[in-house]
Amino acid sequence: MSNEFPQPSEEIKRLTSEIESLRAEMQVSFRKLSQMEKRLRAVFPNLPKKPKATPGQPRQLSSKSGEQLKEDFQRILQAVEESGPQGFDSTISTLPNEDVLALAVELGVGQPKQTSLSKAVEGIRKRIQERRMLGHTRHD
Amino acid sequence: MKEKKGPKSIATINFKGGVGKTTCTWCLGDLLSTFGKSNVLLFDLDAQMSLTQAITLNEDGSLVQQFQTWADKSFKKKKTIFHAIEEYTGAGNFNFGVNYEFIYQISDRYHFIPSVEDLYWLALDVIPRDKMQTFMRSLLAKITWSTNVQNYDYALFDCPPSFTLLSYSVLSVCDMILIPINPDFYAAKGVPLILNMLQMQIEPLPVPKIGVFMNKAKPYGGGMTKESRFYWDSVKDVCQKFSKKSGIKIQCFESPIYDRVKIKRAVTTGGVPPEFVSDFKSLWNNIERFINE
Ligand SMILES: Nc1ncnc2c1ncn2[C@@H]1O[C@H](COP(=O)(O)OP(=O)(O)OP(=O)(O)O)[C@@H](O)[C@H]1O
Ligand SMILES: [Mg+2]
Repeated sequence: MSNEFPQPSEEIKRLTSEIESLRAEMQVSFRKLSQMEKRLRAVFPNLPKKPKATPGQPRQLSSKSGEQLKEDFQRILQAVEESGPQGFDSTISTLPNEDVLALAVELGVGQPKQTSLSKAVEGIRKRIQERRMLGHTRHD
Repeated sequence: MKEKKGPKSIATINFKGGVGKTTCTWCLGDLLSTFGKSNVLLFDLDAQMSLTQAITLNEDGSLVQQFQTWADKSFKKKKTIFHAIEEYTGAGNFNFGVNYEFIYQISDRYHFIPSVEDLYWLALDVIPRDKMQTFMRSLLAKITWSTNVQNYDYALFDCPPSFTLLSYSVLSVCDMILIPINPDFYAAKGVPLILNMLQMQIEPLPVPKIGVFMNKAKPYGGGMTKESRFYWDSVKDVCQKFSKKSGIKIQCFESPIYDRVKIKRAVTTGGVPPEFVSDFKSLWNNIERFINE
């Protein structure tokens, strides 16, 4: 039998041991890091505490229903049809941030709690473009 | 003459390849004949023969011996669908006799008219369009009146992803056109395209009812993902507008078939996979309601 292609089980063993050794390396690095930090604090006790992984303020949640968000989408769509890209910007700017984020999630272009506002806006822009391109029939 | 009802006919089509025309048509037929009480006649109209191959190949790729024997005989006796077309469009009368040399029996209630490679010739438009238009109606009448074969409740057609003369003869006379779509931009984009094409090609004849459903919907928590939903909403929007402006009856069925690998072996192993049965049942309920409206 050829040794060209490792069997899946061998491949899994190889990957597992690779993961193990990477984890070991990382643990060593973490230990070094915290030792350095301890030494630093011993010398400079007034060193500002390391910033907490900033959760910021908790995100405000949109109170709109899926249907209401779809109406917002229709409104943006209509504005774009009437006045082009400006219609997009001007309509989206009337929406509170939490609704923009919720709309992105509703359109399947954003994750709750993860998507940034600018990503959400770009996602919505993409969906508007898609919907416009999908809509053309010979009756238009 | 005695009143005799022909089968209700449903043609599955989309110009977009790979959306699941063949798989879903086959599964619906299998569902009806296995779980229902109907006799089903399935047509493979695609010269690519993917349905014929799927039904008649063993999993190792060899042809099921029984089918091979049948197909050889069918060809020798000039009983393929291509021979039927040749005879219908030729100079003489259409005396094509329907029997089980023309129709292959997959099971008691599930029967099949396979494709043959010769159907490629139909792409060349060598046959007059008007003549070909009435072909399938005449063939179905022959099947209905034939005493050699059983009565069929439904005729299902797996159409090629193009508008051939043969598909024209089906699409212009069937009771319903069924369009599967997928949850992605290009599949959704194909919907206005196919609607335009159907209208342009079939009119001035009346365009049959059109049913649309989502295949390969991405599942999420008992429904489909938001992304799949977005494309489905877009398609519904297009269909609604198109229907309003053209007067063609279009219904979008709220009964998706989900994307699951299990379906891949459905045709070759014979039998709608159990996890798909309820999806296909809901789809069928919608189809039946619409077709009888
Ligand atoms: N619901 C589903 N979930 C997962 N895979 C699917 C589903 N439906 C179809 N497929 C797979 O997608 C592929 C294409 O399906 P199929 O051949 O039925 O499409 P088609 O529209 O008939 O293609 P063609 O245009 O070539 O005739 C096949 O591999 C099939 O197994
Ligand atoms: Mg196919």
